[in-house]
Amino acid sequence: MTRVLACGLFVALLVAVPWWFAHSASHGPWMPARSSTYAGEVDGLFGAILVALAIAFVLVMSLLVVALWRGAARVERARTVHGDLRLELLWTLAPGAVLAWIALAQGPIWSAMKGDEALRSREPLARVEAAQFDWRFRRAGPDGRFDTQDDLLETGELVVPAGEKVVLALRTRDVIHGFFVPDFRLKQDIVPGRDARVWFEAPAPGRHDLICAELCGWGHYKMAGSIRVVSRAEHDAHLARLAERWSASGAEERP
Amino acid sequence: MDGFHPMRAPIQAKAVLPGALVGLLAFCAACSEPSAPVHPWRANPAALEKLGEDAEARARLERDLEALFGAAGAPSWPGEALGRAELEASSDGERRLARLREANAARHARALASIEAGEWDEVRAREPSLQSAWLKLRAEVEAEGAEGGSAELRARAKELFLGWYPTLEDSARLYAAECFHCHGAEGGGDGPTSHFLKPRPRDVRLGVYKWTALASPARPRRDDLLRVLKEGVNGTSMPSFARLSETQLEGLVDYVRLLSVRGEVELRMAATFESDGEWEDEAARDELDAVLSRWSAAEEKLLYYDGPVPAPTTESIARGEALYNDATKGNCSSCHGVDGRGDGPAAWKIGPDGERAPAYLDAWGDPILPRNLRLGIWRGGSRPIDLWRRIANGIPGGPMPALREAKDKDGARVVSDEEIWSLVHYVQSLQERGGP
Repeated sequence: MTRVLACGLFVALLVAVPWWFAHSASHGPWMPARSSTYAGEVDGLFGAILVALAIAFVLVMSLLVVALWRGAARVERARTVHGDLRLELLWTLAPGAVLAWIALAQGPIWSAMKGDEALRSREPLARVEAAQFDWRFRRAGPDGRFDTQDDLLETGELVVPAGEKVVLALRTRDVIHGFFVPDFRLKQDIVPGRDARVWFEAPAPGRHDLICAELCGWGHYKMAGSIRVVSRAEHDAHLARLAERWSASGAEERP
Repeated sequence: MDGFHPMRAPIQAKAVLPGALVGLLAFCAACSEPSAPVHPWRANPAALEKLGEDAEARARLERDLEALFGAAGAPSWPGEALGRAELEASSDGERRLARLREANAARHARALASIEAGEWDEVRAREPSLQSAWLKLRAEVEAEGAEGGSAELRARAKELFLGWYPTLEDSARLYAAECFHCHGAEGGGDGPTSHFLKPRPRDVRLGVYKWTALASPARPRRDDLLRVLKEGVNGTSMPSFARLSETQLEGLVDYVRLLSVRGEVELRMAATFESDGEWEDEAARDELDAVLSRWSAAEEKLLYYDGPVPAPTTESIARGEALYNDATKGNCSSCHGVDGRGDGPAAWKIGPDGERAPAYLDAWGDPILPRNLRLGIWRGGSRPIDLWRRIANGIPGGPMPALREAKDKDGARVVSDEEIWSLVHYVQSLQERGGP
């Protein structure tokens, strides 16, 4: 009787916990806010994969319980089995089909994130210059070109307009860094010597954490910045303020 | 293993208990706010060297410093009103304090919401001083027990959180968590991480700061230190601390200044002892006054350009190039090199072993090399006016001279303010050429 109860509880947990995990992936309290246009699709894929894995997990664990259960009642000696073609085909092809489905299902989302036409056609709003252990942002200034005298620089926080496709050019000055904005579901490694580009569109104003997702040295843990999404008008006003700060003569600091 | 069966194996009761304990501990550790221990202040070896083996002098110096500045766990500011009081008294005090209220509203948003909702048990502050002030206030108002007490509590609690300014002790804790591992407990730039860094973290005990907006090697203003905390120092290991709130940063500025003044007093005391062999009764107080007078005079030394900032033109860049290479004018190429790669002949010497070695040491005794101007990495700020200030004022603590101070034998300036702008334009154009 105890064994029946224990096994029942085990199976119930195996069903309930993964279901809760999968459910949480789309509705749960531990997922970061969804603040980009593609965040929902990424979460959908994440949830679907979690459900597929949960089913496999429950299945395998249940088979284990059954095997233990039946084995406990048996007393004969173990013997060697030389395989069962049908069974092996089953457990090879079934997961294979699931993997193939995942590969196909993620394709459109991946290509939308990494291969969007805007990445080639649009001028980057800013260049992200990662360096141990800071996020710095370079604006091209009026001439539209980077690394010229009218460039504007900011540290730690990038201001972007809401409701627009924003393209960023990423570059590192030293080692590998990972440009990661959890709220946007956006993560892109920045490899030394290679320029990367990312895009996102944040529909609503707000502030979002930017963290480094590649262990880049002793200060990796403090390599935190933020992306502040504001209206187009506020963004332009911010740029104007930045430009004004850039052309300052220092006299405005007088006490 | 006859008769062994996994389903009938006895549960190892002895293993469960320690396991549960470890789990509980891990849970508690995960729930509690991490805090770094505050390390005691040690004596500056450079000061000790000047005192020699005189045990009595060493004890006196330690006693005097503690009387003025307290100890690492309980720092105190001697007399002079600093911190919040200084902010209030400054010319733009109102604007600054309004900014701090905004920062506090963001940092304590949760506590303020709980106050608004009257959920007193939910009100919590991460800063020990603020938390104890809150508990005291609550006990006080509740003890009176009057009708409408909760409205009064609400108003006063809101004011407490919005008007929060860190005590030196709060800032010492924050310093221990964020700064100590590089800059060391006394601000000596010798924390445990410092050994892995190049350039080395700043030793603030000399009172010398490179990245200020001031003429002559003055002590920095609050804003100079604040700028470094917010933007970091590009090209070094000093990161931006913009993720901390403005109020916390102002508190850190207070604490860094305390460490800096303390370090200066310590070194000056030691120097006096070395030359005189003894101290007057009020020696520490006198040294403190001398040090503080330099800090309080900082605001007046602001360096700025009188007029609108000129835009770069082909002519100004060409003029800048000529000045850059002219040994009687800018003479920049002698150290920074003709191509701006920081490889000019004056920056190097032949060392005792016949190898090429840096020619100069900085104020901290470390070898120092001229900046490579083609990288576009400017430690003291990237704005044109920042570069202008670097050239006009030089860089305190290193061999970079102040071109504004360069005079010919008749006392006239060798390079005018406008010519310094041409130099800025040329230096910026070097960056555009790029390359290592």
